[in-house]
Amino acid sequence: MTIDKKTDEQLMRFLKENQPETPEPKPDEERQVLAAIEKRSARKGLFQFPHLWKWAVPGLATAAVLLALFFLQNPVKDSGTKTANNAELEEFLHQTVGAVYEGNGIYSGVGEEWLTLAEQVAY
Amino acid sequence: MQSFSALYREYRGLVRSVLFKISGPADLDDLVQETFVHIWKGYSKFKQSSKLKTWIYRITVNVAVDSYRKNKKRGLEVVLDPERQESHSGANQIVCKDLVQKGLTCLKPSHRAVLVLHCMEDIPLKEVAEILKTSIGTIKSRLFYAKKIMLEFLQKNGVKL
Repeated sequence: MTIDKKTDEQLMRFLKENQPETPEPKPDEERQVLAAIEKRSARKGLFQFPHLWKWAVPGLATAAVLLALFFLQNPVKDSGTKTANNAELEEFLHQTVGAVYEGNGIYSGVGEEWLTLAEQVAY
Repeated sequence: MQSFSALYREYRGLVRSVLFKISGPADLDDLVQETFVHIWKGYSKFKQSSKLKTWIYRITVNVAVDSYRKNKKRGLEVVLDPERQESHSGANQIVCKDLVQKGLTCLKPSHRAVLVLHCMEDIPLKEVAEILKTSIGTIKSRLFYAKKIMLEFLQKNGVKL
């Protein structure tokens, strides 16, 4: 459907002449509007640094994630466990080096490889 | 606050009229209040690159369209003022006005905004495009569809143009 020029002009005139009448405002509208604005401006005190609020939440979240990742990769070692591990390692090394020494008759490069392996196992 | 009070007095009629035509009578007072709160919040950041009136129209249309969408989501339809319908049902012009208002509710909010601004508020298409932050081509297209639907609605309801 197309609208010819004449109909278009008539429609425009009809709409202009018969546009809905806006109801009158309440007598105290101005007071209410200004009160609402004053209320907002009083509340604004708490949020007077919106840019800080805007960055604080994502910033804190990122810091928390980074901290969690750091502790996942560098777990805090319990000192009791470490002592036990050292004792186990000493025992292990003693037995291993002894075995290598006894087996080969000399304390050679083979023994060093075993030491490295032992350290890896222990830590 | 005094200067804002003057601004309120100057533009309250415009704001109220546009809100009523786009979103209907429901919550009109609340919407007027919301619009002026938005205007007040943005007033300090308002740049003189656009006209104050254009900027106020933009805020008003945004509040009206948002309200319409919210009401639609909540299942509330835009209804005519029942008091007005009952008390003036006899007068021909009132019937026509009610028909136009009903016709407006048949339009999409974006189409309705264009029709209200251009055909009722007499704003040139270029400025309507500026208010709605879109191209003049889009505005012309929206206006065409709005007029077409409005014309069909009016003809269906016995209006002869």
